[in-house]
Amino acid sequence: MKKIDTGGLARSASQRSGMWDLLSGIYRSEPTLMLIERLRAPAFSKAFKELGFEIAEYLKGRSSTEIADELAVEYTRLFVGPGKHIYPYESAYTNDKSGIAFSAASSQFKDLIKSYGLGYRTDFCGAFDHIGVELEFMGKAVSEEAAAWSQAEHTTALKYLKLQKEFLKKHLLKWVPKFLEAVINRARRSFYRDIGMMTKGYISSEADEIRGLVNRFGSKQRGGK
Amino acid sequence: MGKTKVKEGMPDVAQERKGLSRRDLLKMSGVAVAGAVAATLPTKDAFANAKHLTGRRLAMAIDLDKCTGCHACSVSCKSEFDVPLGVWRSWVKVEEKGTYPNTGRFFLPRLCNHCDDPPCKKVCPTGATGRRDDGIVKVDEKKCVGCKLCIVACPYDARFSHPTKKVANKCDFCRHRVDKGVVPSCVNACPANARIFGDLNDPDSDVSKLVSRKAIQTLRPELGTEPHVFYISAEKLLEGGERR
Amino acid sequence: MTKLTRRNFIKLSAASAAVVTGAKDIFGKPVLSGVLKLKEAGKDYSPVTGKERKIIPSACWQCVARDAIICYVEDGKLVKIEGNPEAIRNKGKICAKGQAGINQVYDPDRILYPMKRVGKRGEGNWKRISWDEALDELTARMKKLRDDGHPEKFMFHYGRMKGSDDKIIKSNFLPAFGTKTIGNHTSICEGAKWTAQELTWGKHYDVNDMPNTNMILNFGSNILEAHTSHIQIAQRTIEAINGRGVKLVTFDVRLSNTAAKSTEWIPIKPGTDGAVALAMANVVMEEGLYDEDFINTWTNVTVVQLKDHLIRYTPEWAEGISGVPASKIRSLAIEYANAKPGTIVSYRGAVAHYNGVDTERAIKTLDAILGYIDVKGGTCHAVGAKWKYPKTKGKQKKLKIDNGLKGDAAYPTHHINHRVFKAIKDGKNGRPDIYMFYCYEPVYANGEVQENIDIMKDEKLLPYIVSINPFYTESSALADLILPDVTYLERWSWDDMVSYEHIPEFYIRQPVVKPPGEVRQFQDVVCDLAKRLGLKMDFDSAEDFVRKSCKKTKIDFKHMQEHGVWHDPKAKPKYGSYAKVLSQKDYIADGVIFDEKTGVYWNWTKSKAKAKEEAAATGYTDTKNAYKGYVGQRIGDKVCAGFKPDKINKSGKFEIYSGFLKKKGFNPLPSYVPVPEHQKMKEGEMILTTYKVGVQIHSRSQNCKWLTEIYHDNPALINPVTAKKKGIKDGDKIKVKSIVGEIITNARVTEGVHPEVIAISHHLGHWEYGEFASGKKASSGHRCEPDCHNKWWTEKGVHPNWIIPNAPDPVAGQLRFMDTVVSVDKA
Repeated sequence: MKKIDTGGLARSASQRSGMWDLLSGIYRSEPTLMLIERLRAPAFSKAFKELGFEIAEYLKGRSSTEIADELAVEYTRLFVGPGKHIYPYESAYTNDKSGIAFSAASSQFKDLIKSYGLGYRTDFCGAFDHIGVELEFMGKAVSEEAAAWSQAEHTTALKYLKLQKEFLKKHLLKWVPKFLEAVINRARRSFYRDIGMMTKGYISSEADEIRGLVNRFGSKQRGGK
Repeated sequence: MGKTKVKEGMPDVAQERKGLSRRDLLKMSGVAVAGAVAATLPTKDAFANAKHLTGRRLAMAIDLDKCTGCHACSVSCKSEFDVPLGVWRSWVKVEEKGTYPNTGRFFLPRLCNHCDDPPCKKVCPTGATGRRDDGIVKVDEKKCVGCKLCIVACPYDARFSHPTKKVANKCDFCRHRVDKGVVPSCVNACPANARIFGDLNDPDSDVSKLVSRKAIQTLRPELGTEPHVFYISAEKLLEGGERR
Repeated sequence: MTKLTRRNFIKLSAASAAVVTGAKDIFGKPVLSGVLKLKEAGKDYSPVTGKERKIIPSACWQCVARDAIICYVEDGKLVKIEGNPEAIRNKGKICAKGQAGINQVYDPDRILYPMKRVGKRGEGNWKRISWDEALDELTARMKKLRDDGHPEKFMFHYGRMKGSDDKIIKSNFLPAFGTKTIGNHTSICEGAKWTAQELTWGKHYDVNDMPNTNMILNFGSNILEAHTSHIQIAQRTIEAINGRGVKLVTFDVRLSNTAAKSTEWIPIKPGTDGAVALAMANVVMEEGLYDEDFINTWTNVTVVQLKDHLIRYTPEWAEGISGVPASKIRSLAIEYANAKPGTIVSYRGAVAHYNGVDTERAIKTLDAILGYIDVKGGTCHAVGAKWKYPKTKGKQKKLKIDNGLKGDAAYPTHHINHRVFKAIKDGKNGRPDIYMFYCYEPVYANGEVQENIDIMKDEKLLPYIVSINPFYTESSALADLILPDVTYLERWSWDDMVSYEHIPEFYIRQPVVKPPGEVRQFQDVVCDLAKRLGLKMDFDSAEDFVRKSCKKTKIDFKHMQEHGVWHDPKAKPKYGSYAKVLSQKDYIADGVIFDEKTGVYWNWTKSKAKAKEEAAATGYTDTKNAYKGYVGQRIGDKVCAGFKPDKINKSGKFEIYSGFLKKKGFNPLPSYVPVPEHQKMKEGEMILTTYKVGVQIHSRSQNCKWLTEIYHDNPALINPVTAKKKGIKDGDKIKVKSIVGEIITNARVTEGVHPEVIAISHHLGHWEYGEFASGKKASSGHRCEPDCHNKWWTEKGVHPNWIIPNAPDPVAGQLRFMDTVVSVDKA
């Protein structure tokens, strides 16, 4: 029987977690100066290029401050308003289609997050089920999976994988594809268009990856005589 | 010493401390309030230890209103560590008060208090008894020579000499579970959810909120050991069998 | 042109990781604080090696509550048991007893091999034999009975047997063999409660909807230490009283832990709970606080009838009977009526009496007239998992000894098991040639222990006795053949305990460790016996039975192995199902006829009637087993589901008036019947009651060292005022004497007991059951372990059952555990 490379799985999970955090950071608020600085790093430029995106081009040439200002306007236009904008939170797309940010469904989502031992930063004013929050939750779940693999705790790692699978199925995949379609269509700056496509691709890719990992490790009998 | 543990007797709860803020508590126990983590460039270690918040202070609160004296905690602890008969790491004291028909019965779950200033540590000649940064007082069995000074020194009767291993033994807040993010066995076992465990330095933790909002008692505070097991609603145990 | 391949994403991830080597702030301040913790509690590690412990889900068996558990195994050894966090019933919790299940597996006095008696019965000399030898002998005897045309002379008497363990035996093996001479144990527990419910609202088991109730009255139940659904009801009760400030009032003869945690403990004289319940019902009617609609629509009495009947039960009268102040009865009744809704818990403290059936009927009536029956927050019909499983048909004969002696009780719907031995001694209805008992303590669990021993020792009365048990008990010691069973942690079964979520939960029990020695799960042995006897069953082992049941019930067996529990995610709690209106196709069907007298629609083909005309002429009430064909009840111009009957041909109404009781000369309306012995007590005599504590079960947990370490002595509880009158001090030796006999035990003077009561817990007083229970190593073998030397207590208690009569209540046959009149003096 092939020995499981828990070290490799830990490394992969920690990289995946980093990606979720990156995406979370991009949608959470207007891109910060620091974020823009980081995205200009050579490692990112190369990776963006291989994915076929123009993001590196968009970020070249001008000062970070100029880019940040431009993106702030775009972020506000796309996700905040005033006027017609794309709702960046789950309950606007699921049961409660009213578009109200602090609905009952949203509150239920908060309870769900709390049931996992997490809280919301006290100065956070956004919707409880904001895309940034959901992406951050995935990042945390994958990070815990990484920690479990690094301790060779198969059962625990599998539990976190199952959590990721369930969260994708019950939450993200229910609305984010629609949300991202809207972003891709309405973005004026290539940055958000490319990020939208990248996000869509990554979530889809992760869904497959996670499902594969659950099937691979979940089929083992729990315990034994 | 072990033989007297389950007999009924006077609880060793002393004065009430009402309305002390968490900050006061921490000041008294000499632990500095954790400041904000500076947003400096992250180090390799910081990521590796991301799970452990710096400046963690573990503590337990026990709500005596909820405790029904069922002993699920006592047996769960016995089981977790295969504790021999005759000695306990965690146990429940039972006390009856009042006159018929106004009789009351009260329960006091007991365990090591994981003091900030533990007398057991002071007397240990080999350094086998130590106190972690997060407050857990533990025994390194390899270093223990079985002198039993710590057992005598503990004012809470929390320690014993293991009948076979001949070393000092006691509750260690299930550090083998806690270090992996799982609550102590007794906390998990309690059907009434009377035991709350967590990081006192995290203002969002349940234990933190309980301790700052409710009246709490600790055992023998006059000794200055700064115990970190906090009892809620212990007043009824102190007064004359008054009911809820 | 995008190339969104996994490989390219990995490069991007690597880039992120290279940049992010620490704080998440790099991408902006994170929103979420704290550490993500999995909701499941189910994780444990070795304190020595730190290695994660393997989990195998299963189900508890330390009491009838049968909660779902997870078992941690380390190198093939069971090291820890916790509640299964995925279970909706017990929500990840179990009690002290459940956790001490490990002690059952590693009991140093466990029987590991089949044993055959050598010398006289009870001498304690045994010979180890092989399974082949044991089963050859047993098969030969069983075959002879069948060949002689008397399979009914094989008696199977069980104590605790549920779920598939039960179905394999009672729905397959015993029908295949041809015997229905079956004994159970219900009459020593709460038979009266169930019979009362069958006379009143139908199928037994009431579930108190704690999460939604506004007030709880408790007559004689020790919810926080016992109760048939212990953890389920206890945790929900604590949530109600602590979390929502719901008032809990407990009537009990002593301060149980439940009474101690209640808002109020009201001491009460034993056997008088019915008087208080009736007086409260009277107040409700007087004050006009009753639910007129429920009474008129769903019960078979009118408001006028109720008022006329209850008027005599004044609070002042009840005070004289019970000692509960009239003002308290009145104020509680009004408060309870205004709770909207409330719920009443009742158990052995109220029903293990001469008047147990009336008491339970009075209590249910009180809930009914307030409209608290089967409503959210009220007293509801229990809901349990309905498994589909293999069945074997067979013609069965029986010896009529399961209901004790003639005239013992009017409606013993759950049999009178504590008087089976008396019936055997009497002999008029025959005696079994083979008496096999399974997870049962005929000697220890019943009253009149000496008579039980004498009968068991008498080979003329019981020629051949087989004990199926993992342990060497007082009863096993008197057997001829012992077949060692596995403990519940080593066996396959499915189970179906009721759910306090009102949503059925299916769950299984599976072996978590390999059983030691040559012990075999009895349900597997039964498959072996069936083969030897040439009987055909559709499964060849307990595991096979569970797999087939899962398949029939459309439940994924693999899921059960991995999770232990399953419930339909779409299921919703159903309240008020009695009011469900049936459609024509339900009651206009083949075989269904309408009974004018009762308004019941019933399918006569399911009864014992031979023809439709016969059924119609005799009528629903008087046709044997008519209740099995019950379809619905006419209510006004509709046909409703109604209160479905069980065991008794009750109509679909909530029968406050019982024609069945009238027929046998009892008052048809719930009444107060005083305990006869209590009316003729002499000065200084007391009433002996028994009780349970949270860390023990009736008789089969005292071998669990962690439990007996906490509770190993059962002194007699006596009130200080009474003790003083008798010159008894705390710790004194006292003699407690009844008409049956006497015991010498120690007194515990306590303010927590009624002055007329002497309370002795019936858990202790073993003289077998191994080192930890009695100090006596089992004659069948003892394997010393380190903790045998660490046992620091010498007490083993004194069993009260020696002096408790095996007396039946006249309606159900319930053992009147709480009625015994005794004299108590300093020894």
